[in-house]
Amino acid sequence: MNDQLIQSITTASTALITSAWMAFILALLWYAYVFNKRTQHIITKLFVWSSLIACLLAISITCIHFFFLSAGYNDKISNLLNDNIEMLVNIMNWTEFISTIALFITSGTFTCYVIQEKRHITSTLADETADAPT
Amino acid sequence: MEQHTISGCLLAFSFASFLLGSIKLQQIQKSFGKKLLIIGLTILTIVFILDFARSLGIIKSNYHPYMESSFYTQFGNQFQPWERLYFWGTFFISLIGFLTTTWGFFVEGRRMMSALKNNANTN
Repeated sequence: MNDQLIQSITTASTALITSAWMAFILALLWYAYVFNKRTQHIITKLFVWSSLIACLLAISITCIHFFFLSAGYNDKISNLLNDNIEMLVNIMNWTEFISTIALFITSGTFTCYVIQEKRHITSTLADETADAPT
Repeated sequence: MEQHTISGCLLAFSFASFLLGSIKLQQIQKSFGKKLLIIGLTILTIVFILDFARSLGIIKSNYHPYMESSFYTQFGNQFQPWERLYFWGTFFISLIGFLTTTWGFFVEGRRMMSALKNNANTN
């Protein structure tokens, strides 16, 4: 395999997985928003806020990832990257770490609410009409 | 422990926790969206547990496609076929997991949203 093909495969695979991650986080944020709208509970409010933080951090990570990827195709960006590589890698590592913590809080609040408020959810769901689309 | 290892551990716990929550919700009321969520989150939990095991050094593979370029191979980097298979296998499986979970969140959110609208109309 030549180097250009390897670079294309690396770029395509990174772009694909980053986009899938971004779609997952956006869908999670929307779900959290609807879930909170239905339940109106302090824990689900925390669920929304932590997923919003995770979403904002995921957007910044995606931007940095695409900046790294574009360096392989643009000399100006490549030079800019070489000058600031240490700082960018540090920022990306810390952003990823904080984003992971935010996702951990998001999942924790969701599961805590579902387990603790099982009875409340059951009564709320009973109000939902049976003909709601699935 | 390194930052990467802690992140791997937190991610594996996060997906496992989401999976537990989805299973509990499915027990309350079954729906297609929740089924999708359970399938997707099971895949993601397994993939991220494997990733955590890799960051701990239990699974010894540091393969990435960019390491196939002449810059890396000139230093004598050689990879086993199972390392390539492992990388691409986990890559595509996690992609399927992410897409299924995203679809599940979307379907479930839409179902809840229409239920909310129906409730508002009846009130």
